[in-house]
Amino acid sequence: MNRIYIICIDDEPEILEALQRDLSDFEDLFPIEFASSAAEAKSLIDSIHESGDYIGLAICDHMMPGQLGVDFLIELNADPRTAPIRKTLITGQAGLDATIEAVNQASLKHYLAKPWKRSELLDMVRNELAEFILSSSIEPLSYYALLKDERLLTAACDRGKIMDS
Amino acid sequence: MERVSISVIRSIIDKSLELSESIQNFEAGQTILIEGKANHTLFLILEGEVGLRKNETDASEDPKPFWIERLSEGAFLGLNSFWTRQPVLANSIAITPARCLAIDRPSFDNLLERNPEFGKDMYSLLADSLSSRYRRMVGMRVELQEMGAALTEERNRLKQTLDELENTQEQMLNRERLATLGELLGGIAHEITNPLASLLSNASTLEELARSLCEHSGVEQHFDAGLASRFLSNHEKRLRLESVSEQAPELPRSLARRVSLMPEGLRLDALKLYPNIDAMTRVLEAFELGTCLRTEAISSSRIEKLVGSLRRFGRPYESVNLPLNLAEGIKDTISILENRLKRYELSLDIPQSLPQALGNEGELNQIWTNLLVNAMDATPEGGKIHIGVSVRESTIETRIEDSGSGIETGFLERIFETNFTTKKRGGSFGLGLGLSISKQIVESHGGTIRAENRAGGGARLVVTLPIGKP
Repeated sequence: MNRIYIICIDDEPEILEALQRDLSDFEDLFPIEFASSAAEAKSLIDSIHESGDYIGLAICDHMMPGQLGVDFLIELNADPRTAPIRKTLITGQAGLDATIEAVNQASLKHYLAKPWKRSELLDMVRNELAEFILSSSIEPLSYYALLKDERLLTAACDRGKIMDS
Repeated sequence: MERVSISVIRSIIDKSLELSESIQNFEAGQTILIEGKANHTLFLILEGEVGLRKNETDASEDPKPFWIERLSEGAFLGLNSFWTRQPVLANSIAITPARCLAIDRPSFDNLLERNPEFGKDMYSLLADSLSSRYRRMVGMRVELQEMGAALTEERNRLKQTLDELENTQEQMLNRERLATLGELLGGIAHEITNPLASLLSNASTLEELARSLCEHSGVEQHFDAGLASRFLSNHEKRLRLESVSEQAPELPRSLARRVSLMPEGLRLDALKLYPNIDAMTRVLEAFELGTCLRTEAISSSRIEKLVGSLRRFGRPYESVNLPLNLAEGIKDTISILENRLKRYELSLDIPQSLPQALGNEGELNQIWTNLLVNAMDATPEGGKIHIGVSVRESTIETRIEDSGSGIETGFLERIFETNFTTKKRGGSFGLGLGLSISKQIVESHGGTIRAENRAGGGARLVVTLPIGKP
């Protein structure tokens, strides 16, 4: 079965390490990859797609050298191959204007301010991944145990019904 | 004064009985001629002083009548109105008791007709009188011109003073802002210092306790490895993860990742422990304890440095004559602006040891902030910013260069003027308070600041400060 990846993008290594620790429980089902810039993230996305896998969620910082986080997310949203990726900002530094732009043009679904609470992060990730699965053609049942989202169960049943008939 | 010879007058009077009888006396303060009225009498002052006084004009805010002239013996009164038949120009008022010859029009015409001598004398008197008045007019015109010039000079001086006052006011405001900022920063730094001290002390205790626990479980090797672990790039981590996954495909990814972070020797040992997850977890946790403590140490140290920079950066206004460490000030500024500066290619050329300059650290840091912010504003991201410091004979020269858009040649000096700007305000917490302030600060330290354009494009700001006493 094709895997659903989570990617984290931040130029500060300590942040990536912290995200890796906080999200370690997801890793077995949702492999996690890390990038230190938008450019690195782009080649990461390409290689993941080449292996035939999905990217379910991008957790992105805003203030980075090179391309800014919001601009990167807007670019992702404009490309049909990367548009389905759920996008969240995790940052201390996006001003109101940039955030509004991201919400409007990048389908930004969630904004997490640094420093974040682990529980908030986990809730956000669970929700976003569930949404991703629900809006795709991926079989939802196997993810229910980890994500604990009732909608996945419902979707699985509906699929069951459709497949039966 | 009109030069009318008294003898001429006497001879005129003597020649005519009528004239002898046409002498009028006036008391001091008496009005002889009224401004604006018609007048058909020509007066000639024989004795005493008469003043010409204009009534108030609407021109000024506080209209008052004003004196034009004082006339005395030999001067005519009512000359203009008598001759041209226009209304009297100004009141004639006796200042002292006065005696005047008063010739009315019929008498005048009569005398002219009957006595040609009278005519000649009269004309010469009148010519004298008019010439003298003309001279006076020219003289007054010249005075007026000089007064005008003096007024313009006065006005320019006042304007200059006003500018200086505005500058001083801005400077004072700036000092106050800086003092407030310094207090704020000092307060924050102080507040952070205490929990920071606690953090650091705790961290070293944690390390000891952790090591002790690990020794008991026989995993102190892994703990130490964690403490000593070096930075790995994302790419390296990915490669390692792939390698471990290949070596042990049965391992869940999360476990594989944890193993891959360990150094090679310990990695292989850990893999050998599989499928004893408990044993693996014990060594992995020891290792991770080490890496966590290492990260704590690095982060605490970063906070420590930042707090130090903050505290030094906003030092409140003190006397100018304190020795200061220029290199440290520049580095503190860089550290505080790092979040924005990291988007540029920054290069430094600062000698290890610099002679001491004397000055106010907080104020100088303001200059570095201003210049760096300007450099960033003018340069697209990814561009180059260079800071160089060199020692000349008696000065230290600091150069801040960028690879941005440069400064228009005509503006190279004007950019230091108050209120001169070619860009919208940047939002750096109001720390960058403008080149005019920077210039004032530099000059109050006995230094100079200038702007140039670089040969390869972009601008260069050069600040020179004296070594030792300013």
